[in-house]
Amino acid sequence: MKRLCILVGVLFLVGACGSLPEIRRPESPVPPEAPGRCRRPAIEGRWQFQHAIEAAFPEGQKSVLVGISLVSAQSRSIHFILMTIEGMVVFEARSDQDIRILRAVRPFSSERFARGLLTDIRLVFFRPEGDLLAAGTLTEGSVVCRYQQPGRRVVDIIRNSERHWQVQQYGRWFTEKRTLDIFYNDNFRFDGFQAPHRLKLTAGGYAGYALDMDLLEAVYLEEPK
Amino acid sequence: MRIKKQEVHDYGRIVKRCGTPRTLAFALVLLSTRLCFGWADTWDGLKVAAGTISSVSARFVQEKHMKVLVRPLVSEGLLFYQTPDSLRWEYLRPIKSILITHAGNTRKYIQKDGKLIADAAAASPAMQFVLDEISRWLKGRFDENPVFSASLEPGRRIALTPNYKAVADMIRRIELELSERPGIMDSVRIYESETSYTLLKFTQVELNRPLDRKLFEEIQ
Repeated sequence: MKRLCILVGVLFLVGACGSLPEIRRPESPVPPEAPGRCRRPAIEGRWQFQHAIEAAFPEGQKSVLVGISLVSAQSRSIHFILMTIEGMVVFEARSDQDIRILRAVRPFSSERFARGLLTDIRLVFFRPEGDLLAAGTLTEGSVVCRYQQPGRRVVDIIRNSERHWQVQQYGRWFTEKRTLDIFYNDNFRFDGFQAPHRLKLTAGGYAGYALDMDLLEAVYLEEPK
Repeated sequence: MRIKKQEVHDYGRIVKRCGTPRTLAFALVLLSTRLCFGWADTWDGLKVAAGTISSVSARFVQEKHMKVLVRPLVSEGLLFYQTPDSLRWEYLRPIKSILITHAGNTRKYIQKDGKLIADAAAASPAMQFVLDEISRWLKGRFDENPVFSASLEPGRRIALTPNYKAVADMIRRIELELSERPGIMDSVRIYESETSYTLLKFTQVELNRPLDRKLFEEIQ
């Protein structure tokens, strides 16, 4: 009986640990910077983006909200606001060196949600800050750059096509997975910068959620003097 | 400066036509009394004016102002109200959305990928609270919600301040500006903080126009 318990425990632990997708034909040695083919269009200056966001929660509820992202490439800061169509702010947070929650109403009031969302949005507009671990291709042929993140997390930047990029984030034991799909079309192309027209965020786990974000407006802002 | 001829009044002739100066003075006093006690000067006056209204249709522009925003977020839409409790609050842009409360049911639909889909927010207590409040305002019952303290202010303004901290955390203050035309609101300003507020401006307001029942029964 004791042996059986140990066996079940070991199986449980093995099952709980995930693994990262295999990178084929990895570049060796690992380049100091990501190769150009897995570099997404970078944002420059300050921008105000307005999204229509369809939020889906574990209970199956869906609701459409308005999202405002104020993004500064210079300070690598993001001010994010989530509000109802009627104009009621349900979530507001700022992310630069740290994440500060300025307003949060249920079901957007958990710190996990705030951290996850702000991290996701940072990865939409900014390159990952950690070291490049590997670069190559995935089994289905997509180009991938793998980065080390704080807290033993790993993030894969994947280019499926010129118009469809993916960001996969893995937790400490590669169990928790967050997926961010980034789509581009020609509707939001600016001088030297192309804004993604659609973003799909999927966070797994018991308090998971999915956000489907359609870009409504992109406004270039002057940098504050 | 050139003055238009019809703007130059001959007070002597007016006095002569109206009779003695004392009669004129009496008439002026009566007129000023009428002007001073308008429809929006007392809670009863507001209820009386609203009591004559069976339906309202209007266009609205919604502006969301926040200190961090370089320019306000602007939405446009239509409002239809039919006594006793039917309301259609429809956004046309930038996101098409229809909220209907009719026969005790509230439904909300939002356009996604060209299709109108049901939105869970229609069932939320917060949304029901807002709808009840709008319905109360359209009936002229501004002072009947115990959640808010209402005060009538000069210039046809009504200020609503929350009586409970839980509400005050969400809404700091509401200011309603009433029209010269009895029963009509010009604008509503909902303050979440001193630097964040939503402004609703109503235009093309029509009262007591027969409204098609389909407006409250069908999503179209």
